[in-house]
Amino acid sequence: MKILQISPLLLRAGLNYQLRHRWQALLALTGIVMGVAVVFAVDLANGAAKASFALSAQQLRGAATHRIIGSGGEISDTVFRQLFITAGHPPMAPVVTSRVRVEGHPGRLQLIGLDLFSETPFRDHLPGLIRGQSTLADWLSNPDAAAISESAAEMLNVAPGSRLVLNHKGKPFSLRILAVSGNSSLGSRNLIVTDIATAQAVTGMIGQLSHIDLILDPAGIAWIQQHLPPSARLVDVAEQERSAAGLSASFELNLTAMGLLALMVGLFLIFNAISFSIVQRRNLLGRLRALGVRENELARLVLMEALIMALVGTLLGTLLGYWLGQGLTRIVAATVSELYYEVSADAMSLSWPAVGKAWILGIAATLAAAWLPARQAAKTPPLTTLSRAALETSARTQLPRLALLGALLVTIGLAVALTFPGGVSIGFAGLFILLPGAAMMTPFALQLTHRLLSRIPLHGIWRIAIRDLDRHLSRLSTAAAALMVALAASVGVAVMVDSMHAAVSDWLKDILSADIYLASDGFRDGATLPAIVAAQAPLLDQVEDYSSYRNRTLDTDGQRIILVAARLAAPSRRGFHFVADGGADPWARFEHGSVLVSEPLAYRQKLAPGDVLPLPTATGMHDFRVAAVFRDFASEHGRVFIEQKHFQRHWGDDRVNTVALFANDGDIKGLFNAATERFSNDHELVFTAAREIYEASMEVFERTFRITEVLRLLSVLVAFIGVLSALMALQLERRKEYAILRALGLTRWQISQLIMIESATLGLLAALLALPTGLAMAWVLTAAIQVRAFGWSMPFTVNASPLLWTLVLGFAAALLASLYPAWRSTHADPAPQLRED
Amino acid sequence: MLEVEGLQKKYRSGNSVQTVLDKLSFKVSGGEVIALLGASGCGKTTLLNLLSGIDTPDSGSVRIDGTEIHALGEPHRTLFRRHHIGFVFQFFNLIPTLTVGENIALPMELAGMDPKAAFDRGELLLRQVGLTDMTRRYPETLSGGEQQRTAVARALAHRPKILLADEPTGNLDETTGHKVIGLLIELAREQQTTLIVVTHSGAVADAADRVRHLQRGRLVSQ
Repeated sequence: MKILQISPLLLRAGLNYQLRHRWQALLALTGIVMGVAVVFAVDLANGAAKASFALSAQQLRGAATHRIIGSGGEISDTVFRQLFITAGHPPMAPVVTSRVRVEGHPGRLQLIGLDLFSETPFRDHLPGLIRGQSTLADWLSNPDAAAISESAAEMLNVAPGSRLVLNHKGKPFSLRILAVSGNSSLGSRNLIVTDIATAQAVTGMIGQLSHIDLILDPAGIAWIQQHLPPSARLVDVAEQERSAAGLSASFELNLTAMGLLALMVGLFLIFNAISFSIVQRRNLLGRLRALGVRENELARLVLMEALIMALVGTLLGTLLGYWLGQGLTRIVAATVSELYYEVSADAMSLSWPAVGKAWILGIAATLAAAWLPARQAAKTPPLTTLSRAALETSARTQLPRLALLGALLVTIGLAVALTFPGGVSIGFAGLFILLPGAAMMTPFALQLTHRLLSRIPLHGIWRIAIRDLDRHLSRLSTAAAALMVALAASVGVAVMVDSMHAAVSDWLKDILSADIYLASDGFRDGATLPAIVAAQAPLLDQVEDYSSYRNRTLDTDGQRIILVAARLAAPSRRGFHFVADGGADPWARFEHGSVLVSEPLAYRQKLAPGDVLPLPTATGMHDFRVAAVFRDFASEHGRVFIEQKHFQRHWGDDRVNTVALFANDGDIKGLFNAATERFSNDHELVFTAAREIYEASMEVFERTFRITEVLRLLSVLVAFIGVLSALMALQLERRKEYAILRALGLTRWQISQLIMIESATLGLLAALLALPTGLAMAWVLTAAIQVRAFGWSMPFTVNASPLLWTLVLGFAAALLASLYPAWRSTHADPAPQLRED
Repeated sequence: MLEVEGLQKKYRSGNSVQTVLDKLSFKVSGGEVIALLGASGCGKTTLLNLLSGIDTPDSGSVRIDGTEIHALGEPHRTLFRRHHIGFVFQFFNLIPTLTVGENIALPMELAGMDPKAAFDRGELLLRQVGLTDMTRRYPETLSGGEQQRTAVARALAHRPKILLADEPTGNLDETTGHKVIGLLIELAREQQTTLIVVTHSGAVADAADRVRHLQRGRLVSQ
């Protein structure tokens, strides 16, 4: 490694310099530590979610290679029986599986019902759960028997013989724990195993199966395809799992990118610290050049210092990241469990590939950030050929060119993010081009601001402070740029979340137009309304109009789509905001069997009005024409609305999940009383006002974005610490200057004022510059990244609060950073400073 | 042997051009001590920078033992400086983050000398300049005279062919200045090193083999 070929004395000179300028070294270290910690923590949290999913998928899959699923969802167990009695069938096992709630326990567990006679070739470990502690006879003779792992027993606080009350779609079911196995893996911690008949009873899937597992070779595949009825489909298990895991891919990518954003802020801090140290020790570097140290030796010295800092910073960053990762995993687990699949809150484990990635990233990023300052150091002329004033002049003449290049990068970044084809990575690539571009424009903006301020007739301390902005431009500009980037990242994410919040809130208000929503108690788990309630509720005298909804999840070629069969009243229809309606009346086409497609699905499958969307119906695949594309935040995977009568024709399902009632003459109370009086005694129903659904939905939204908020706050923390140490280093470095001013007769208070005014002006200025940059970032995040990741387009909403907070943060951080140097400069004896070489 | 031929350097500031060195030519023999005098801003430091290859001339040449240093590329010029030229500055310019011993060892280490041998020679030089017990101290803990003596030891450590001293007594009191310049000349002579001293001091001029005045970009002998 050529970077390591450096004179030990030269290296010692460099490292001693870092030790003598601890604040600067600490700033660089902070950048590395925080950046690495956030990226590592996000990686661990994502990894925990993935590992948790993979483990439970592996446990459920066992040796199965393929699955038979119903075209429209569930599959009749007669399909299994028919295939099983046909000669030459490959190994197959019926499975009933569903997520269930356990009373007194938060979250949901996976219930799996198995036929133990077919199981052996598939999941040896599952029959193993009951082996040794109970016999097959016990298992089969107890229709409420269940087996769980030791870790599940511990989590649920049950023992063999205990009863466990499950709740599936609002219906309770009591199970008796027959066996507790020693298998303590996290996958089985979320698993409750029963006989298939028990699972059918719990889930109400009498005569139905979730799927049939198969072990197939090519001949087996041919055999199955030959014997498969049209209502069933053969799917590859690995592909199905990939698609299920892919459900959260965009979420994970967003998290990763937020982590990288924190690293980028960290990078700017490293860049700032190293650049500052180069400017600061220009004289020292010049002395070394005069002694015969070559250009590339100086560059190597800077890179070597950076490498040592990277090693220390990455070590501390991974330790902090591990701790941070545990907290993040809890938040990620809550969000992923809410939106995608079950993840244990304590599923995080130390992953060596993640450690390796963090180390490579930490070291590579630090060396990349040190590269430009190293080149700058290498170009240091031998002693005395450039005075300090000449250096500042030279730096100043380059500012317009640098700003122009920055503007070009900002333009390219915006163009890449907003117009280039490709996924969410392209969006982030654009963002990561835009940010350095904006940073390059900062010094020029600083200069322009100085010109503007210098026109104001200021006196005394204020005049010196403002002039210093220009006089120390080369030192101040990188600190201002680093602070600007950190604050801009915070503004960008906050405005993006605000836009999302406003869009979801408006959308909910639009779609929740009914007065009362009527559903079964277990509607959150997909329970349907009793048929009599669904039929009679709209007939109540107090009802002016009604809408009804039936939700089904369809599995189409690895994509999960929510199909909503709806009878929509006129006010409900008005709640739909079409982003593409094909010109003529889309509702007329909807009435005639065309479907309404949500924006995320249309974006992913490139669907437009008039296009054809094939969907698996009860009788096989059927093509539906798209009537319109509507804005929808209910699911990132897509929803399809179909008129109720067409749904019943294709799927043979007349059940209803929810009925939305509109009160006559706005008499909501009358309607509520009539509905509760009519139905409450005989049925477990939930009557919900639109406001309550709105509030519950917004709570889910808040939970989903909690992790984004946490990562934003971490970026702010990185920025705060960075600014604090950058400005502190800057002010401490000017001790001699302050000593001269003291010698000239300035009082201690005047020196303190000078330091505070300079710091606060710089902080405020960086915060002001962070506003347009942050808004541009927010624009990219909302108009490009959210669309590319989730297919969600939304209006750009800017609230004053994050902008004001940014100004306060920039100002307060800078002011706070000036307190110690002000105290130090005013309390130190000026004489030794004046004597300093 | 140092041979300077037609050396010219101009500085441009806006539309005005100032000729600092005007086709300067002179020769200095090995081991000779030259005192260079002149008013402030007359180009003395510029001349030293050109002689050492730190700065480049507009025209003319500088030959040191037959090597035309300005014909060398920048990296080679740096290496040439590393091996053959020593510097003593008015403001000492020691490396503040290295100890006195390390400051002296640095040019030797850069020239490829074994660190142990470099340290031993450093010790010897420190004895010669009267700073025997200062090896492990940092420059800022020394007095001005001690710092300049360290700088002298550092400048001669790698046995350069030419030693350039830019007002080495300018930052010292008269007595200390005398001692330092005496030491500098003594050690340079001992090592057969050519010494060119820029100075305002008559005492320094008295100790030199030759004295040259720089006036309006040209050398004038007295």
